[in-house]
Amino acid sequence: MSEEIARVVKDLSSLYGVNSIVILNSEGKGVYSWHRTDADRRRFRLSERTIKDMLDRAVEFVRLAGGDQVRNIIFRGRENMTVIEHLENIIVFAFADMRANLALLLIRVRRVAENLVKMFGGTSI
Amino acid sequence: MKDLLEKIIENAVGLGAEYADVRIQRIYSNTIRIVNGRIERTIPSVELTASIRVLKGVWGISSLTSISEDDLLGAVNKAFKMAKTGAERIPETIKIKEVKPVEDKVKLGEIQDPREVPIEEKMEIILECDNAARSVDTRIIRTDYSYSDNVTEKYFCNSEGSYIEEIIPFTELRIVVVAREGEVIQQTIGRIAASAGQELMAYADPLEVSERLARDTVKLLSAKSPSPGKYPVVVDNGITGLIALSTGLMTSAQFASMPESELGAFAGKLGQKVCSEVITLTDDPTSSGLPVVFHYDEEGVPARPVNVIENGVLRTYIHSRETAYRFETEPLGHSRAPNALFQPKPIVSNAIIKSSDLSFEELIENIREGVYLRGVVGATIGRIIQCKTMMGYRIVDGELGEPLRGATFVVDASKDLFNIDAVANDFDILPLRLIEGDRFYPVSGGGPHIRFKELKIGG
Repeated sequence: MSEEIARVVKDLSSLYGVNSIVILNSEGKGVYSWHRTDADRRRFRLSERTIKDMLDRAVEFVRLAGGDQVRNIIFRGRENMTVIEHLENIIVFAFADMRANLALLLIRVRRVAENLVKMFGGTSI
Repeated sequence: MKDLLEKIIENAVGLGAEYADVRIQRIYSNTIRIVNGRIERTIPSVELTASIRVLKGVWGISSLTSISEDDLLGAVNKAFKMAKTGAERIPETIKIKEVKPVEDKVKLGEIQDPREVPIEEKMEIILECDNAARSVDTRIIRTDYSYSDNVTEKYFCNSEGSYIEEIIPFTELRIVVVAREGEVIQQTIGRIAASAGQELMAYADPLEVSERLARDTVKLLSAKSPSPGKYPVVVDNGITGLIALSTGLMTSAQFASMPESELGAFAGKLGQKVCSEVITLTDDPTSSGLPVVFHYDEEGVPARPVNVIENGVLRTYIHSRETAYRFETEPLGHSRAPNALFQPKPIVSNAIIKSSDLSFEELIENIREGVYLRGVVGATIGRIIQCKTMMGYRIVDGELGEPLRGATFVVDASKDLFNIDAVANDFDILPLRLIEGDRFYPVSGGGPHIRFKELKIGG
């Protein structure tokens, strides 16, 4: 399964500036991770639980504000940005530096989520 | 650059100019056109323009596309000779309003500079949007994406001691979607534009805009045309923007000096009611996120938002330094030009109608039988605004009813602007291009949904 996911994720990992990708199922269980270099892997200290918690908090935050479904969350810092996309039973997390094209990052994150949903259908992964 | 421009200005003053300024613009741009998923063209370009303006009784102007010292000095001589010759023949002398000299450098803000984004990445975004629109329904028969971005470096120097450098970004995407079923063809148009970098393509979500336009176009195939007639009419922010822009253009002192012109309707109307009292109109070239943003205008005057119409009353015109002197008022930084070859004139930037505190629901709640119009497909503006809208809805007993195809309507500025009886609390803008010759000014109009007590619409 890991190889199949890696093939789908390649579309995103090949984007200039993307340093880390984590794929979770909707329960927050990690099913795949990718880091551009060993240094990126060592620097990355975010747990799968924290990613899921952040998504859950954003969903609640937007609900309380009167909004509808959360499709994605974007955090922009001075040097990095983070995107979390939720589609059906898939959560895609991407961490990139500011050199990445944010518009393209959003498109490719979404494409990865759509392709993984297609790949796994409605089944839990 | 500063040393060169100061030398040019010193030369003009040495020749005997009362006033002189030099403007240089370097525009880095990229345009991409994709039709039905096929790349029709990609054009990267760099345009360099310059002009020198000399006042010696009247203006002498020389424009060029080189910034070599020799060429600029030659242009100074030409401009001076032109002014001198003009002054001998034209009895009227031109004066300009005094402004404080400024030295400033305005850099690009925290944006994703489009010059640093590979063209392949821009194309991939547009192709993805195109694909998303065409995937909505097999009845989508045509998609047309026109993308452009540019970064303009502006340099300004004058004989009063001003030296200004300003870098301005602009990104725009225009989307046309056409659907067909049998003999019925429907079209929608979407526009995204801001004085921003490539990040606009992330935050404006062109993918979502594309899918929404495609869904709307398909929906229109089975919609009815509105019955022509007079109704209470609510228009969306885009149509409000068109009305705001047309009204804003008429507040230019240049047009107000030409009462016979199509945009001269506000000539001699300072202090008078020119539209309904629910309308307050601001020309705002300074707010970030709008399509036109600059800190200094083409005459080096710091730009400020101006309420040109307050509660229906025309409070001021927008001015160049020359018209400000003539009207004995202040120029507030609204002189514009498509590039440095063209001479500055007072032109509206973002014409914004002020929102109120009414919700959209409150706007329609007392309408028994009316029409809600959305989107601009095409329009002509002036004293008479003619507009073809994208789509609409019936309003029945205070609620939105069935969808309608686009309607046409005509707004006569001298009558219908007084028929606006409510404005809502929301806001959006319509980015447009004001064409002059083969050049254009980016402009926009914006504001809330507004309600006409009665407006005649055609099918």
